[in-house]
Amino acid sequence: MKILSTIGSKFWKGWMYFAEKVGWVNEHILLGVVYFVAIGLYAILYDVTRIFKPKPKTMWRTFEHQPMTLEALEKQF
Amino acid sequence: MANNKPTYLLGLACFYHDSSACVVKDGVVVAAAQEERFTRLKHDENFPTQAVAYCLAEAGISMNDIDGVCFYEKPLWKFERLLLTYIQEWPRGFVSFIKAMRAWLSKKLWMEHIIRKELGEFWPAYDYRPWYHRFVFNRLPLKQAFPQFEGKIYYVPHHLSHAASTYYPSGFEDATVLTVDGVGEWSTTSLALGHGSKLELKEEMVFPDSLGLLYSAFTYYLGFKVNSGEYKVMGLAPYGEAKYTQEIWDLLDVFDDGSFRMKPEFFAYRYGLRMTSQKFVKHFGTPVRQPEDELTQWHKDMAASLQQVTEELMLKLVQYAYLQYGGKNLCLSGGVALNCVANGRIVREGPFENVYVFPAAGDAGGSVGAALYTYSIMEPESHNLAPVKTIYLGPKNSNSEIESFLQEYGIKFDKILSEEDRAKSIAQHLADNKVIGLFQGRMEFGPRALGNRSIIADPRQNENWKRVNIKIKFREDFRPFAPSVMADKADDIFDLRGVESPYMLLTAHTKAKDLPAITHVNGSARIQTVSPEDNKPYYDIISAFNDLTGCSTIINTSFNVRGEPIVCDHIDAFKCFIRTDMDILVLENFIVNVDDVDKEALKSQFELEVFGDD
Repeated sequence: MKILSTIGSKFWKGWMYFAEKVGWVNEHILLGVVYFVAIGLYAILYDVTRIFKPKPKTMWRTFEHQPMTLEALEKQF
Repeated sequence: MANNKPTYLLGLACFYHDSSACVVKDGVVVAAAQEERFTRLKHDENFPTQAVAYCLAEAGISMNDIDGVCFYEKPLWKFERLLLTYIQEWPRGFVSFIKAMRAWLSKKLWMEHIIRKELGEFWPAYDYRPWYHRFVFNRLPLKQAFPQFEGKIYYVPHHLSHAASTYYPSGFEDATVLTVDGVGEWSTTSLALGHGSKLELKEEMVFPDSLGLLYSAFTYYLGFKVNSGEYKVMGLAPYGEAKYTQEIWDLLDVFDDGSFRMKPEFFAYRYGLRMTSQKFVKHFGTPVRQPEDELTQWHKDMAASLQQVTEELMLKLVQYAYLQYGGKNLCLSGGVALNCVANGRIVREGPFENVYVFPAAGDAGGSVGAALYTYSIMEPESHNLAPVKTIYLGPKNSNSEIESFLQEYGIKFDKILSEEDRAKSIAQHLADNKVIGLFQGRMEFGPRALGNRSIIADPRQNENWKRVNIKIKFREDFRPFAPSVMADKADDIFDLRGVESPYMLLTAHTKAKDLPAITHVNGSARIQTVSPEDNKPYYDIISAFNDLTGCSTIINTSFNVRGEPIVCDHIDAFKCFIRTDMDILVLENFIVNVDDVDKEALKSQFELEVFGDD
């Protein structure tokens, strides 16, 4: 029983190590696709629209989210 | 029949730095504490489980009694800012994007779930789960698994939390509120107007233009830890000369109304893992200082220059606030409001008659602000605008707990029951040039030790400065000490012009010439005025010291060592005592003398934490 448990534990640790590495690769591939494709497309559009933006005369801007109600506070956005 | 049940709100601030919790009962803060004090991890950012447990216990309630949980920011606004910043900076922010998304996808996007789950620990075992969950898990040994908090959660915008944390406790009937910090969701600086129970954010400056981030960029550049070492830069500034202010102004476009734009080419925090860009380094001609590198005069001059620019910018912002909204009263909050030198200038040179700064002006205070603001919306008519009269909102230990602890470890002590005799005895030790660890009453909320978790000493002895810094606090020798002074005698010693500074958030020039240990090289001191109303036992000690020596001031520094949070309970205090060179430890009514303690033997009985180099 003890031998089985030891083998099982070693196998589990090995699997976790392997899974972590695979996860790391997966994470980078998936986030890379999101970053370079989805965000990239928006970024190109953003750069185009930025050309037409006038230079600001102040950095103050009006706080838009008024009035704050209890319902508004319940939202995370 | 009218419902007489009080309204209880639980405030939370966490997952960035300095997490904290508070309980507000009918608009009055009854308990507040930072998580770091319990976990002993400085600036702990994790969910404040222990702080919540303490606040509930102090209020004598359970999660059942809580009418709402108030979180100090709107997570999805912040996520929106992150995504938009990556769009703007594409493609150079990839590494930062991966890191940020890891944190957001695994934790921060599931804020509601995390809060409910974490608070489930305090929630009565109630089976909230859907039928299929129950069907599966009730057949497994997990019956009581996953209880969750089921009540309402309110998300208060970050800068509104800051604004509320200073406006409501101020006691002003109306006020202009200026909040300045690194960044909340979008806001970095905001202006709000308070009138009665109503508080409205009017204007904001948004990321990436931020005075807090400018200060943090230099904190990084000067080799200190961001979101932690800013106060060291402030402490370093008086040793330098403001030679490089023009070079710092060159990094900004400043507008007439006090707003400013940070020139993006000099800063890397929008897309990278560093605060400053290569161009920034080239601009100043000196590489980023590594933490272990020596601090040269150049670094001190740079800190002085940054401090001057910060003060000028703060004064411009205050001037704009006054021109725009007028009034007599100003409330300040946000991390930058912990810059007591700038605060001192706002009080002396600013246009407002009265200035109030919330003592926990940084992110920790966000929990209080979120709860107070939610209460003001919930109960707009009955809102209790009573000012926060005490900042001693944390836990305390009773004499009986302390006595049993001392007896358990066979530690010799003097027990002094009379408050008067106790004050006299402590004062006598101070007069004998002893350095004392003072632990009494409830713990302070916020970053300052204000006499209940303090190390105190005689300020007339110059040697005490180096001794406390090097042998007791194990920290940099340039770091100054703050004085605690009897409020009724403060004007004789400091140029305070009648202004009180009960929370150690103002600096003023020292008139007295014989207080080297608390006077900075530029002749200033960061003052705590103490009155009997603020803290009677502490006032009595200073007063007894004054009777003995004619000196109405003592050194007050926080009761901790470098890298460690301020002590929370009597055991933390004792551990700190045996690992440092303090002479006397006062635990409520018990006085322990170092000569009666076998430190080495006791050290082996306590698990002494190793603290980081902070």
